[in-house]
Amino acid sequence: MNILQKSSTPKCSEHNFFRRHTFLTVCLLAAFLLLLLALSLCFGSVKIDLWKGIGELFAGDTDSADARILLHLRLPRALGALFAGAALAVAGVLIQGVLHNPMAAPNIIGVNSGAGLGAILMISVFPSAVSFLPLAAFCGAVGACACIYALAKRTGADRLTVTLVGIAVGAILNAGINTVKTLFPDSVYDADAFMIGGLSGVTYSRVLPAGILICLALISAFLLARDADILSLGDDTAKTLGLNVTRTRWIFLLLASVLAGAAVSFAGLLGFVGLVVPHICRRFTGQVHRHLLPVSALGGGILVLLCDLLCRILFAPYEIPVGILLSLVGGPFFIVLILSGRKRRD
Amino acid sequence: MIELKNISFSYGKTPLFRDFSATFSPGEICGIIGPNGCGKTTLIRLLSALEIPSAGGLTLDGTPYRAFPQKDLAKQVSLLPQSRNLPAVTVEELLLRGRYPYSRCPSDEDRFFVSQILNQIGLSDFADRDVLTLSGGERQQACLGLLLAQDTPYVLLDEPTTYLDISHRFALFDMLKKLKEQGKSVICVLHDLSMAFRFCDRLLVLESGSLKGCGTPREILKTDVIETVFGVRCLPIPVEGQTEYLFLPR
Repeated sequence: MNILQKSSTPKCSEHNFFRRHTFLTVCLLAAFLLLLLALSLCFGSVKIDLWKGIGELFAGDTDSADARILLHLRLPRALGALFAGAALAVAGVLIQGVLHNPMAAPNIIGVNSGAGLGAILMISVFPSAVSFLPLAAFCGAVGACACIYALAKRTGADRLTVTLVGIAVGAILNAGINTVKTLFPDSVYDADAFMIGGLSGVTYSRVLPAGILICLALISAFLLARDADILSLGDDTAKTLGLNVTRTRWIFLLLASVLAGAAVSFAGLLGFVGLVVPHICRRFTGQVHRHLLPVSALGGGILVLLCDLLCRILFAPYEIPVGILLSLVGGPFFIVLILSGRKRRD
Repeated sequence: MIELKNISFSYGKTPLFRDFSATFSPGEICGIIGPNGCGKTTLIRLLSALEIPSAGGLTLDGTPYRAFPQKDLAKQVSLLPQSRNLPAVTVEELLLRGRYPYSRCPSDEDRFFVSQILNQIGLSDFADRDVLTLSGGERQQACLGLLLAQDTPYVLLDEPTTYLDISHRFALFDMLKKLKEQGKSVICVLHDLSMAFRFCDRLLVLESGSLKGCGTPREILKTDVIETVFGVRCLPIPVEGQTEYLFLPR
């Protein structure tokens, strides 16, 4: 018997095009990302002819001004934007999935602050151990994640409570960061830029170790996309489908901590990427993580690259930290998200 | 056969089941009925290994539950919970997630199996539709599809008729009968006594964690257990060669 013979005619989802053509979507996003990468290498306080600069680099002429700016300033900065954006966006997808909370994001629930505290403590106590910064940031992020997850699990708290607990944890960790800044005023270089989040001081020595960690964590997250799909059905259903829910949750929290920690270690406390990007991408891909994760990674890279580019050219020859523009975009987005959630409940 | 032997279970310090025993055999629809708070949902959760008894044990075909790796148990026992998180995915994608115990990534075989389930439950025209755009009844059908996609010999349902209108309720029980004919054991918690008496082969009547009655609907009616537990009386009425059950205040 056809159970739904009385039902209404089926309607196609408005975003089915993207769900059916995810590969095409990924290709288009990747092409846009490459275009932004090229623009990011060209534009800034000094305009560079990209082809000329690349030609000089290939010819072995690394002493020309254009080649040096390209190689030592613009390229690490663009790579930093790409890695930070992808890492924070995917960390947002994972944290939202683990906590079943669409308002959770690394900066909102204090994960970035945990990473920031770890990084700033490391740089204050061991100023020469720059390559260990991602590890220290990771430890801070794991601590914050574990704290929030434990509180959420212990209290069985609803989405809003988890978010508020996260905000409180973030405030405590930010107080910790400010304490370290006060106690070690000379060892923390450009501490204000770190708190806002910016890419102006990014060097290869800081971005490459973090970049390797980010790439490994992204690959692991993509390989575990199916488990994230099952987790999105809720704990009971996931368990009855044979998923080890507790272990999977911890793996995702660790991956999110690696991603957020690595990004914070060189870009500072960049906000809202992990909130804005997953939400926009989810509208197109649905909660199919094998699509959502790569699209979010590309989307995060695009957002941070674009914002960083705008920060450099809007007030050229001056520039503002990219964290300011991201907060200007992300803050209103968060308000809209809360209001739309409230409207749905009403 | 699933066997519960001398199960004890409590929520915190509040005991619910004490020395509770029951068996569930293949090829039958077994209804679990009882007033609110009697432990019906907890029993289903124990059967699906979502709760662990503090004493006693569960066996599946003679093997203790704890001896099964989680994925192997998921190939034996499936559950349709009372409420479920539904993600923003298409109906087909949702059903493919039911194949998780068998393959990490859906194969062509899984896709074919799911297309058959979609036909079976009449959702094939809805395969590409987002589950969040479906009505309550249609969502319940999609959830049933997810349960069927898991393809287990023991099928547990916790109040499956909650979101369904009367015609969909009958259609659901027709589906459950087909599962029974395939040799599966269907165990469902039901609030609707008329439906339970009409469609179930065997009924378990619970009250405050105790088994007050167990048997076919006719056997249950021969006792006064319904009157004692629910405070209602049952009036069997023959209609078109079948027996319907009317429940009236005492």
